[in-house]
Amino acid sequence: MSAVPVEKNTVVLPLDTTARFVAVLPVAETVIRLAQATPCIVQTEMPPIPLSELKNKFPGLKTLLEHAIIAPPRERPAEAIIRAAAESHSLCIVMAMHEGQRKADTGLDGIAEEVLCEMPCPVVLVPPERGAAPWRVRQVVLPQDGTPVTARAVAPAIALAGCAGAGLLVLHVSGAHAVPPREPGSLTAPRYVDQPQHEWPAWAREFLDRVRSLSGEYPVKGGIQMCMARGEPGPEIVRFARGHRADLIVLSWRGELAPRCARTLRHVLQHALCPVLVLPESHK
Amino acid sequence: MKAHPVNTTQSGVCYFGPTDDPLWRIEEEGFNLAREHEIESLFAVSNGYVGSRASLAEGSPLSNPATFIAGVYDTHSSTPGDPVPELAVAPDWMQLTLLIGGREFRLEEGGYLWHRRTLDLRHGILWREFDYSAPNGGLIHVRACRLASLADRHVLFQCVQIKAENQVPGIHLRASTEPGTEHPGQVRLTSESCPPSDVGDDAANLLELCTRSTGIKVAIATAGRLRIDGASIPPKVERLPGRRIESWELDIEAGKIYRFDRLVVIYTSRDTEQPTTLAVQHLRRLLRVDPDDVIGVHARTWDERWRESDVEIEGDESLQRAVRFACYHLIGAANPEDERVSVGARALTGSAYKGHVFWDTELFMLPFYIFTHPPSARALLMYRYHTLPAARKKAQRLGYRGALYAWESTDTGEEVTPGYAISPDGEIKPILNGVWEHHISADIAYAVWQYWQATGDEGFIQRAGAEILFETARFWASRGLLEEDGRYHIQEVIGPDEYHEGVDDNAFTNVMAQWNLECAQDAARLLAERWPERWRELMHDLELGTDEPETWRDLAQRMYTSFDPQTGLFEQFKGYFGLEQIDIAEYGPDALPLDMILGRERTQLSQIVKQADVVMLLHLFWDRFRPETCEANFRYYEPRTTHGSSLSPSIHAAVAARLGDTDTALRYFRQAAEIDLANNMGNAAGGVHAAALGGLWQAVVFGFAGLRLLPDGLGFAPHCPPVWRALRFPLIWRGTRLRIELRPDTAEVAAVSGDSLTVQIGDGEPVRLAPGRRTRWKRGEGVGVWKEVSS
Repeated sequence: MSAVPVEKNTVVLPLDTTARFVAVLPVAETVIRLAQATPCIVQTEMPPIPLSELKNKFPGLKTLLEHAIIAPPRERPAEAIIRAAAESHSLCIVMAMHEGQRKADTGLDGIAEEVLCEMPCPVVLVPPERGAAPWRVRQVVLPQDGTPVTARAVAPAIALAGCAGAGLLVLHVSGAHAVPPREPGSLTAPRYVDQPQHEWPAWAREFLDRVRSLSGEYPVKGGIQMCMARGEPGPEIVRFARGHRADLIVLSWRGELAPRCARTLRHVLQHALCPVLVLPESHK
Repeated sequence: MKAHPVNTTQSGVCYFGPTDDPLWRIEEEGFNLAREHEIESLFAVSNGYVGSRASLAEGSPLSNPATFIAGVYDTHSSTPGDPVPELAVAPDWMQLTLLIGGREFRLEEGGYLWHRRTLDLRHGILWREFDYSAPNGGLIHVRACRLASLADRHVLFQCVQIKAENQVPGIHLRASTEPGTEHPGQVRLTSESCPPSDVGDDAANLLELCTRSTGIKVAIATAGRLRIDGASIPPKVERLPGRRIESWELDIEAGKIYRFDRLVVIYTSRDTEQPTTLAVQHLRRLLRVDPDDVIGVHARTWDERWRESDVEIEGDESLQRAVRFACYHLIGAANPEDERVSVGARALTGSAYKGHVFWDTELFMLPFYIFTHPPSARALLMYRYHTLPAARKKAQRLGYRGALYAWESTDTGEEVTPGYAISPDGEIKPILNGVWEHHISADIAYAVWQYWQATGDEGFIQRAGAEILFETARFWASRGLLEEDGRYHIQEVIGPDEYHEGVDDNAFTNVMAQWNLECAQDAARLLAERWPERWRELMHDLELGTDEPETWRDLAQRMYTSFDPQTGLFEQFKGYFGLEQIDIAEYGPDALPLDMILGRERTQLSQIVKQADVVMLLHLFWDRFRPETCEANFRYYEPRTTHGSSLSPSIHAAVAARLGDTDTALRYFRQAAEIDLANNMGNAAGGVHAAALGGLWQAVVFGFAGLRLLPDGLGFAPHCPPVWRALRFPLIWRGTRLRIELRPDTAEVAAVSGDSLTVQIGDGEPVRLAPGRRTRWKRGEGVGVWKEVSS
């Protein structure tokens, strides 16, 4: 996803024979191609199915498996994924949000939730409902709460958008009871709008300038646009992404899934129609 | 670090560094990249002719170095839609690269042990200090300063002093002045299409640039000097088209002082027909004097301005600094020597609002200049005089007589309000202020009269002021309609509450217009009685009918003001009382502006008020209304006002203070003080809020001190908050310099120089105060009761 050292250039791809993998495969293919990465295959079914069988079941896998690393199988699928990502310092994990039983508050299944909680690297969570259609990154929605830490965290996503030639829609959601972040250097919606004809363009420029400079100034060929929505962040992000036919939503996350935490992330994961890239805020 | 002596005070105290007094310092410790644009605005140096943002000399990923020259506007040809002129960005004269062992010093890459930027308000100097641990192990102490000379407004100055603890080899210091790259939303001066210079060898020190569409030429002469323990080291000079680079390569020895000074001189074709020659000659003269003298004379000039302007708040350090910060930027915003420019909404500290001039100048900033530095006030009003032709044209274009000033203007006075705004939620909002917000003409008239009353500047009122009053009155006489009720109504306007557009009989507009009409009649009588020749001349030049002043008086008397004597309330505009009431308290205090939350349509159908509107009337005409009228209207409108504009909190502070509600006044005063300094709104990045800063000064002087103009002096209705031990400030009234000291229960006024005047405290007996004398009052029992206790 970015100009990273060679040892990090792997993408972890959990592989099984369920229907969810049909939806994950096109996303994984695109991510691996854009990042010029090596796939790191983690078989999550026990006992592992021979690769030849998998190739027959998923013809798209053939090319990927040519240069893939095969991670050792483990008793617990989540552990296998996490360890593979940690040991090969992977760029990211691409996996399905769920198969079968979904947790009520995140919409994820047990494996995806455990991987998310551990999150040794960014995770692309793919809704199985998207089906087997090819995946192209044309429009990326990048919600930002205006804090420097969030802006820094999304550097890989901006790099990805740059590689894909995608357009980047930076989205700030604000509302009646929005509490301004305490982090120094945060920029949220302006409290005073003396003259909207001047204030809004200046504010949008400033917001984008900060995101760009804090996240590393990656060139974005598809253009970068500042957008704002009013209301609760979770529903507004989903609504905005649908309205703009987003191919990817990028969320940075502090890594806490305790009750009352991560309300935005929970809502987006439950309702997003497109893949969601979750970036740990501490990730380098 | 041992200081290299620089004399920054008249008293002879020598040091090279910012003042030690924390009440005169605004500081930023460390480095937070995200805040860079805000720091650039807040710590900007400016003198009214030129202003430079406080960008890091070596740059950072977020640096946006910009220097603005007052009056140098250009139009960005690549802006989509209908581009409007804006202040052009001059080349970055502050750029300085320090390479140590081939590695460039950059703050974002670390290596610094500590880092501090200090705005020395007292001396008008931006300081930067840090210790840097060089990659090769050397420890370097750096102290740098930057200023826009208040003593010699064409001059900018930068100085960097380096001292090392141990030897640091391989130092490369590179100083350049270059146009830089275009940033979105900024138009830059360009060296393209500039005629070649004719100043021979001196061209080595010269950059010549031009605007693209307005034909202004800017000449920038620069020279850098490096001295090691006082001995000068010649630079290696690189000349490239449109820029000049001076560089030095050296090894730093322990204990020695390395001092880099850069002088920059700017002239434009607005100032002279030969900007290049004057810039070169001026620089040549400066190079003959010690650079420390440039700092010294600048610091002394600031010292003089502070004697006329400083507001002391004893008992609240944070507010003390905030008020000084306000005065600092106001002093640096105006140039008394140029009456063809005015102060834009962000002064010369940022590119937001494009350097456009609004009513902000006359109603929010001007009182500061009127009562502390009348020449600056005069120059700003003369800008309105010189732009009368454009105001006449605008009135004519819209089918009216007289002068209708532009809602937004640049040097020409023409209307430059953008036609629409696109908010980040995608809503396209037509901007109608340029078409309907007409109160600006009366606002300017108000400022003219206030200046005249406070200064007694006869030359101004004869030459310029009266003409503005007559032409604006003429506009109002053509703007309204005498309706069947026999009253004069003004329809389809926007008042200060810009959430409600196209309203009829806006109280603020109507009362301002009424006052404008009355005042013009008074001015006509004044001229006819005192300067009959000038009166005849003006009648002839303006084709004033002999009955026009009487018509103005008549229309003023018939003006519908929406005042209901039963309730004591002004209706903000016709139909306002019938609109939906919304409880603002239900929405968070730090939320989006309420019009964004509710949507434009619902906001327009509600009683939500953007900013002081009727309350602004109370502020401007305090003495015209009964105390209970002021109280009733403030209590009615204050809970309905969202303060969606930075202009609003200070006016609410002023009015609440006059009402004696010091708790509410202090709450609003703090809110106003925090607009730039607390970094709670994010939009200081585009420049400081000059009107809010002017409002802060007014909240002190008109609010807490309760200043009012008497026919032959000044009155005060003090409401010094109990938490303030003392409030002190100077004023100038008709040439007489006064010092005022207010405490919660005492007041003292001293006439320092000039003529005697009448002073009244509260409702107490007026006292005649002679120059060199002071009088003291003590608060008595009851509202407004003050007794003279000594003189």
